[in-house]
Order: sequence, then C-alpha cells, then structure tokens
Amino acid sequence: MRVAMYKSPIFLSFLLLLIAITALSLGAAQVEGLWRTLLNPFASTDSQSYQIIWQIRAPRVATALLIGAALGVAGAIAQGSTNNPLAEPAILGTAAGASLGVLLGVALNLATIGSITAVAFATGGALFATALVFRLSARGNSSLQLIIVGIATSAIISAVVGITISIISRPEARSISFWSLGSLALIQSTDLIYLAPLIVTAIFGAYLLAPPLDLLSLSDESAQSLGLNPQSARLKAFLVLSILVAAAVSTVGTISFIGLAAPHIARFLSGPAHRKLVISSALIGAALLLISDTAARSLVPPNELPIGLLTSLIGAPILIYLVRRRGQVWQ
Amino acid sequence: MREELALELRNVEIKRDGLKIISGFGATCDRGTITAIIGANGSGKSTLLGAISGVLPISKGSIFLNGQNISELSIQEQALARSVVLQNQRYTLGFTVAQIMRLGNTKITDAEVERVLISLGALNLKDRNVLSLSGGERQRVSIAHALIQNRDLILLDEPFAAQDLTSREKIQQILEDLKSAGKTVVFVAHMGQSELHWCDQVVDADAKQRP
Repeated sequence: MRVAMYKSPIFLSFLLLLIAITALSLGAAQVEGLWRTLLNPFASTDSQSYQIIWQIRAPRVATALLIGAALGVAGAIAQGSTNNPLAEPAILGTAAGASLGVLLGVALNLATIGSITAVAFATGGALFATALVFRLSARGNSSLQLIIVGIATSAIISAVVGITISIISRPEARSISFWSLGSLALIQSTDLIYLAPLIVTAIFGAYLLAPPLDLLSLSDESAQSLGLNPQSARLKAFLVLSILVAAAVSTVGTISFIGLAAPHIARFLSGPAHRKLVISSALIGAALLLISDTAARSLVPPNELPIGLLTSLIGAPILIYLVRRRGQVWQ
Repeated sequence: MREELALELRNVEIKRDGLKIISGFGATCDRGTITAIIGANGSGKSTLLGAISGVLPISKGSIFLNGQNISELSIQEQALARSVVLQNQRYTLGFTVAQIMRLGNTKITDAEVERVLISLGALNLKDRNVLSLSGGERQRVSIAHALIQNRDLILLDEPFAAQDLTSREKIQQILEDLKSAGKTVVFVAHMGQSELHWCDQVVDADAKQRP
C-alpha cells in the first residue's frame, strides 16, 4: 500500500526541524545574523546573538521537543494499555499522581523541583495513581467507568496538591504554584543532561512494548489466549507511562491535552499499529508542544501566556477536525 | 492417564460472582476428534470453554491439556498448545484483517494469511478494516486468526453463530479438515444433537453435571 508522503516519519521529522528553526528565531529579543549564528554554534560565543539563540532559546526548544515527545508517547501508551480512546495521563490520574509525588518529595525536603529525585518521586506517585484508578474502575472493563473514576481520582489528588501548596509557606511555594500551572520557563539547560537520556530511554521502552499493546486491543481474554499475560503487560506499560509523565510533570508541570491529541493525530497518519504509533506520537507531541511554547513566549512579549491554554487552542481544533472526518481508526 | 487424550476435564467446578455455574463436570477428548459442547442458554457452555482456554479460573477439579494440568502451564505454554476463537470478538483499533491475523505472531507470511482466508471463502476480507466488518465477517476473521496459529487443539465458542448457510458449511468443512489433519476440535454450539451428527462426540453441559 502506498503511503502518502506527508504521512511518513521522515517528512514529519523534517517538518519538526523547520518548526525548531522558526522557534529559535522567534522571541522577545531581535537576533541579528540568525542563520550565521545557527550554522556556526561555536563561532562567536560571546556575541549577544549567540547567547540568545544557544544559551536561552535552544535549551527551551530542546525541552519542548523532549517533553512534547514524552507526553505524546505517554498518551499512546495510556490509550493502548487501557484500550480506551479517551485515556490520557491527565484523565487516568497519572499526571495528578506525579504532581503529588513531586510535592511529597519537596515537602519531605528530599527533592527540589526539576531534579532527578523529583522525577523519581513523581514516577512513584504516577504509578500508584494510575494503578489505583485502573483497580477502582473494575480493571477498566467499562471504558466509561475508567474515565469517570480517573477524572474523580485526579480531582481528589489535584485538590490535595492545591491545598498543600496553599498551606506551604516556604520560598519554594511560589515556584511550586507556578509549576503547577505548567510552564517551560523554569527549565535550565543542566536539566537536559538527565532529562534527555531518561525520556529517550522511556520512549524506546514504549517502542518495545508496542506488540503487547497491539494484542491488548483485542481484549484481555483474547490477548491471553494468544500467549500474552495482560496484567503484566499493562503493568509494564503503566511503568513506562509513569516515567514519561513524571519526567514531564516534575520539570514543566502539568500540560494537558497533548497526551490526548497527539496519538489521535498520529493514528490518522501512521495507522493503529503501536510500533509506528509510538514514533509518530513522539513527533506530533514534540511539534504540538514546541509550537504552543513558541506562541506562548512570543505572542505578547515580554509576557508569557500559560502553555496549557495554547496546547488546547492548537491541539483541540485538529482533534475535532480529525474525529469529525470519521476515519475508521478507533471504535 | 491415556497418552492419546488431547483434553481431559475432571470434576470441574466453576463459580462466577459466587454462583456455581458448572459443577462436577467431566469429559475427555481423544486426539484427532471433534467434540461439540451443547446446552441451554445460561448452562455455562461458554464459561466451560473459557476455563479450558485458561482464561477463566476453576474453583474445583482439574483440566489437562495433553496430559498436563493447565494450572501448571504458563500462559505462553497454553497458547502454544491450543488456539481459541472467542464468541463475539470485538475490535477497537482499525487494523486490516491481514494485520489482525499477524497479531501474536509476526512471522506469519502473506501467503499463509491468504491460504487461511481462502479456506474460509474470505479472501475478499484481507485488506478490509476490521471496524467495518459485519458480525458474521468478524466471526470468520476470528476463526482465521485461530487457524493461522496452527495449533493441535482448537477451541471455538459458537463458530456457527451469525453465519449464513454457505459459511456454516465452509466452517464445518474446515473443522472436518482439521480433524483429518490430526487436530483436535472442541466447540460450543447452540444447536440440536441432530445437526451435529458429523461430530465424534456431543457433550451436554447440563446433563454432565451432577446435582
């Protein structure tokens, strides 16, 4: 079967590169000699253009690409492992659980926001909340029940997190509350040193989990009759999901909608098989977050718009358009 | 234990939600035979097949596949010993029929997919999106998915449901061909004894239970 050119991962990667270059060129400050600075990253390290592009904008662009990819893949795993098209980290309780984990780490003085220990706490919280939601909803037997239990559990956890943040009177409180709204402004280039390998490894893990996720789409009974242990496959998927969401939540806070929209958009491009879906969800998620973040920081300079508003504003219309086309991708 | 037994059920009891659905059930299936399990609605025929498939737990008794207690076999070992056709298989993702048939075994070639679909008179379904299939077509795809795994024991839950006369005859022919090839077939049917004269054994899920 011939695949349209625009659907191929190579084309998507090329598109992503163009978006990244555009993102590097946009911002509150005007940059002189953009191409010269871009093409010679080591040429004039003390020039203002160099500092703006490579020390301020590049880490942020890289973060948006990494976190966007993590959220896109997290959404694909959330939907695949629960066999539910509405599942996403923010609905399954994963994101709220990660926030609670980070908060716990900070409150116990064991972690600071953006550190690797915060990611570890977030992973624990995310895994706990996701598994709890799945259990409480009678193992996800009914799609609707899973979503309702997930939304309710997320609400409870988010309320606990919100109340705790209001009570905390430490200097961190301000950055915690900023972070709980979601923002890429707090990221530092040193964070990328652990963030990049962590996210890339977790996405590779998701890629390895793809065949079991294909089988789970047939139902647990069917998957088991074909030799897959559905519980153990799902637990592994939840673990990878939790790591991806934890990496995102503990560094940039909760950014909703990408986890829901990216896999749906990706399925229209690459079909339902999870191997290809993981790759295209990563590319779509990266593009969505990068476009949103670039818009957030360059639409009304020097102010920054909340990133969550822009991810919704950009992702939602695409999602509605695709769903209305009624392609036979998910029933 | 007789070596030739492909399947043996001893004194099986199955509970669901605390209710005894099957109790004191026993049966044996020789290798290379066809067994039909019949019974009234709610007699637990499908539950019984689910237990033989290893998907539903039993509360008493034992089930032996090739002389081995299935409780001692791993999920993968069971999958290598038998294939299963569930009643009412649903699909949620828009795979093609050929993609579905490769799920669980990516080494399957295109030629094998076509061969199995031809035997079911369903080659036209090969590139169809499974979400667009009718109930009867879904059932045939589900049978094709089980056949392509080429196991020695094949378990089918109501393979004749939602099929027209031609498809019924094809499916019956396939089951008889499997038997000729030395495979063991066990299926659940909502039919009368007289329609199942071509089977080696017809087991009534109701009658085999002791009070």
